[in-house]
Amino acid sequence: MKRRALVAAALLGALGWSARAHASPADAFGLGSRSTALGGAVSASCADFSANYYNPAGLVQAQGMQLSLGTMWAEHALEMNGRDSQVDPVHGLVGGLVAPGKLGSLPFAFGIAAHLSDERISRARTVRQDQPRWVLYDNRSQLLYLAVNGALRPLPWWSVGGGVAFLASTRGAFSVRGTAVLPNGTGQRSEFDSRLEHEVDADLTSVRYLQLGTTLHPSEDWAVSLAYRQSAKIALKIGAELRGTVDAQILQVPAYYALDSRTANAYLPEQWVLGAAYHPTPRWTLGADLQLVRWSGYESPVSRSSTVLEVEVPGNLVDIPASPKPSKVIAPGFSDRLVPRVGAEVRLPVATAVELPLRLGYALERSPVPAQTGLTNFVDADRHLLSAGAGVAWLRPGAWLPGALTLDLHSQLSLLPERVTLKQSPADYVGDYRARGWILNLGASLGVAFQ
Amino acid sequence: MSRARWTASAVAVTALLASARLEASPADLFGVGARSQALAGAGAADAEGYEATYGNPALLARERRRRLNLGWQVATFRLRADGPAAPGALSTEALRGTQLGAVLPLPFGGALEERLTLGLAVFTPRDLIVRARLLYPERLQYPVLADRAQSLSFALGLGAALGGGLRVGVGAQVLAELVGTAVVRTDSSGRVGTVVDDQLIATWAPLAGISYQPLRGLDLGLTWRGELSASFDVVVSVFDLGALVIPDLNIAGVAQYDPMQVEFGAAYSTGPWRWLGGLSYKRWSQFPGWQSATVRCPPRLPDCAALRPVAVDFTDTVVPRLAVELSLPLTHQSVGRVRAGWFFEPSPVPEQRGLSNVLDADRHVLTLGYGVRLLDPLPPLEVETFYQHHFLVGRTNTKRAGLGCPASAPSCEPNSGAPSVTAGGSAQTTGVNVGVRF
Repeated sequence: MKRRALVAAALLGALGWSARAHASPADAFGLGSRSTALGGAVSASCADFSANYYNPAGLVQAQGMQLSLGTMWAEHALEMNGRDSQVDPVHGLVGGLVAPGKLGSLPFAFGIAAHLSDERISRARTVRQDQPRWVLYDNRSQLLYLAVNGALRPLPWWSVGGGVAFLASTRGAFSVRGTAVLPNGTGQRSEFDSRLEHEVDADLTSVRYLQLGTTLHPSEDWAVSLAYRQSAKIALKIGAELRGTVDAQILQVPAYYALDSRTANAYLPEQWVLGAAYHPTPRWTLGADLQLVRWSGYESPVSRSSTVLEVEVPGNLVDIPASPKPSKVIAPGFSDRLVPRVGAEVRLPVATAVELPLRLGYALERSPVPAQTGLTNFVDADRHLLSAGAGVAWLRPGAWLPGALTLDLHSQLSLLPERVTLKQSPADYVGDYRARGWILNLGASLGVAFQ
Repeated sequence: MSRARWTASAVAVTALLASARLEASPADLFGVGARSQALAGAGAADAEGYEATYGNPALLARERRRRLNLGWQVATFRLRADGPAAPGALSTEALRGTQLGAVLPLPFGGALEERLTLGLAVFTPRDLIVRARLLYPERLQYPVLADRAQSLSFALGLGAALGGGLRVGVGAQVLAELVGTAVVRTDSSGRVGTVVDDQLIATWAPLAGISYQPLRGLDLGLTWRGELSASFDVVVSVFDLGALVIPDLNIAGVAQYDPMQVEFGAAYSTGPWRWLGGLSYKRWSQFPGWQSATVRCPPRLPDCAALRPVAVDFTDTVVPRLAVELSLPLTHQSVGRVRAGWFFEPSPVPEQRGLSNVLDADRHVLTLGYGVRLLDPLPPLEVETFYQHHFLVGRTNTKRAGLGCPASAPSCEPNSGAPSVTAGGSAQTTGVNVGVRF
């Protein structure tokens, strides 16, 4: 048994070393129609591709190889003071696979899951510190989610899994050189006559964050689980250099500017999930998860910059304004939160080889964002997630498929009750505001499960 | 230009590049997987396991067991630029990366039984997804060789056995490119305000292959890979600067480029020997160049004096490949395989007679490898190692007389490639790969 555990640890370690890629709409909306419809309360019961996110140990519970491909669409109706905040919708492809097998006599499984936006792989937007922004929804979910995991079942009642998901950060430098031409107003010289060219030396570096999970089956009816997702963020470190001349026809002004900038973006908090699943009958599954989300580690996405400026001005012929002051970044002061999740599923036989699964789920995500009484405007509110889903499973559709074809649908309604922000200063640039809204998430997954 | 204006531009460009994602391809330089790299990349007719995803996806259909592979690879470069004004050895960062591969036969029944197989091949540098290194053209650089290696390589494939020894396959190589905008305005308090919106867009290139076994022991393969190009295009717009009007700054270029290529291969077995040969055609002539213009002329001023990037004029290449593999039973439960190969990679880069110093040279590449596969009742494991040595054939670039400075750098150092610079050196890569069948 000890040998099996060592093999398990070695394989999981190897997988953890191997991987690469980006971040998480799964945190915001869930992954896969079944798991989303169950409110995400699936860490002890998932055995499909969504186990790559909820609990990698679930991969080894799969009865055979599974392929899934689906789509999701989420529309935000988030508003401030009655005005739509124009948070972009999220829609994309969701899918993955589970490939169980055996290493000798040791049950083993390999899994991949991805959420790929229809329009882009990811999106990053920076705004000023004081600009109101739905901080948990604005672009945090506009990211690729890609995870690779492995799982083992050293004992019939114990499975363990782990792997990595991916983010990317940037480091590097660029420079622009040449002459910027000032237009003379006669049309003979324009700014497009500027003779500028650029050089780039930048790296997109990979950030791997660990996912681990374990599931215990103390009896046939019960399962308990513990899952862990490591914290991650996109750290941007960039140096910039502008070296050149401004050509004002009567005056040539050499100029040099250097900048060092560091920014943290797309922060993913560390998460611990304790889950349980109960099967009162073979057709019913009840699940409950309690998730600790360590938002207290959240870093402000506002950049920290330092600059060097050297300008050679003959006399006082050119007015050089003072350099803008570096931004003073205010600590966001987010707090950890506990997220309870519950879900229920029943599989109704409607024909000899057809089952109709029905699902319900609920979760409550309290806002980790403190009252925004000062300069910052991280907008957020508590979130009630109500979800429902249905599907159809066609068992043994023919000799060509020794398994099942499945179609799962989900709907998820997030209600964000009104939150009032009162500013300390009556002269605040943004002023008091009320924020509230809802998010509707719909989707479907088509799956092939081999036996 | 005022401090605020320079600052505005710098902040805007920095903010955009801070989120840039730029890519390149080691698969085209070295190959994919330990066995293929030991066999000189001659995989069109005989790629095995996940390596077929890139070599020829049709060959995935030969796989009947699930396989998972994990490997590590390192490549070092000893590149030189020799000449009266050249530095000699150029400092080039080594490549260290991880390989992940999977083969997943789809267990359909009936007419589809043992017909379809999925493949996945991923290589990523150790802490890097991609490097974007677009230097000023007069700098001595090896962009086709050294910088292209520093990139994620990601391929998916599906192979289908049609019967009668005929197999077909399709797949895709996936990369990403960046588009974005930055709008810089000065707010009422005099502070620079920047709104940045950048998006990472998926870009991909198709893969297709066909494999045929006309005779027992003889395999023929043909692979087509579409052009794979990942660009970045970030436009910086600066407003509210009074009388000063700054044109849009286009921080743009091509970070990764693999040309369209067609590869033919043949493999023949005689006893324990497996002989492989292949020819790859690479259409480098379509390469648009790395750099884009920083300032673009608007339609109303098509002849503005903005700088145009230095043109490149790459040529198509043909790569011959030869390799051999010897199978040696080690015990009743294990088989060893020794491999060796050679390929010749002509340079697509023309002689650098002008301001540019894009160095490159033809390469002779010798490859070696060894693998062990355990058989029942031992654990279903396999271990493969390989080594490639790239010899760059010395190539002298003689500069035109009277070479000046780039138009954007009126007071530059003398061109370090003048009056001539010779490109040469070597590159080495080695690695190990562990696979398990489950």
